[in-house]
Amino acid sequence: MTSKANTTPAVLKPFYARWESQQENLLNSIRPLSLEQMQLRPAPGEWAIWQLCGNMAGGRLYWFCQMLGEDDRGFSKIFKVDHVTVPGVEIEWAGWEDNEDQPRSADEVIDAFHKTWEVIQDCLDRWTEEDLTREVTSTDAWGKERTITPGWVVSHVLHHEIHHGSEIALILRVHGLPTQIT
Amino acid sequence: MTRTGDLAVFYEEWAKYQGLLVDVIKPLTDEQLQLRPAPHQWAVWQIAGHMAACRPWWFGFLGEGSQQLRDMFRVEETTVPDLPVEHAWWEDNENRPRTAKELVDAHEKTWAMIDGCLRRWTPEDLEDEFSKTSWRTGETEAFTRGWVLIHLMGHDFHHGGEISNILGSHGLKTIDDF
Repeated sequence: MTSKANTTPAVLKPFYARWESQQENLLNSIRPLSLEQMQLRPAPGEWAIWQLCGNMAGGRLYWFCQMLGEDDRGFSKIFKVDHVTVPGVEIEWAGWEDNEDQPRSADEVIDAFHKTWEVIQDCLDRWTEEDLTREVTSTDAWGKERTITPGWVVSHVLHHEIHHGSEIALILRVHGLPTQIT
Repeated sequence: MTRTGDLAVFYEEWAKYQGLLVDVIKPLTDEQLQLRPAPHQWAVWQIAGHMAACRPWWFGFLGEGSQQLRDMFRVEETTVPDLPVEHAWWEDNENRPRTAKELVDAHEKTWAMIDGCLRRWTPEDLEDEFSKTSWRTGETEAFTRGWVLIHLMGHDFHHGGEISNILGSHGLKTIDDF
């Protein structure tokens, strides 16, 4: 774990620690999965494990970089797809999960989580109490102008990952596969 | 408004999620509440009941919430082998599935308890230490108010994701705004 700078508000450190351990548990559960297992899904119309993971990792860059303007370290291009299989999704905003023709492997997903965590970690180490409440206005993927704060993004992305992580855990349990996600 | 400074935004997200969860549970029939991902996994009513019951149980160790609220989740019998009935909650009695009305009421009442604390507690209050002793192992565990909040928040989002997953698999409304 990277040491936190003194600028990190003390009251938030346990939340950040919870997030990091959540990611570790998720990756430990994903690591042994075959490409076939990554394609397990709860029902035909629902996202597969690799899609949930892609949405989680790609969502980090959407909120931290596209919406807040943080440096993406060149990682946004990793999530670009050359076509989408989901009707109504514009290619500009599409992520891995929107192209069902190219399922992602456990290795690809883990690499994506590690790279996007670097972006997050840098922000969490750097942001002060004042930074977390700074208002940022940007245009979202639906063309709507939104005003958000870094604090809101931290909360939203963390909880987005717990929510989707539990969906992955459920798919694994239903198929008798081990999971560390709690 | 909360008095917990930097954490306020986390609580707002939690409150929003609680509202979304109640909205998806409210219209479910008894039959839909019995949906489960596999025979050996909890049904929707069990997950939702467990989420609500955990709140006053944890808050009880902090000296918060009423005994009446905790007793609300007691059952007369349990269908879980080797679980003493005094430690069983709604989800542990499969013979008595809970309705949407019961579950919504349980979530609203327990959320009111949490919301009251969030409005009262200061950042300093979150550092105060408490402890509990496990009835299973006899081990004593120490924790702070802040830890309980993080734990319960994560617990709600985790189990809420499971409910959303089950409902989505059956073409029902999910917590999709999230």
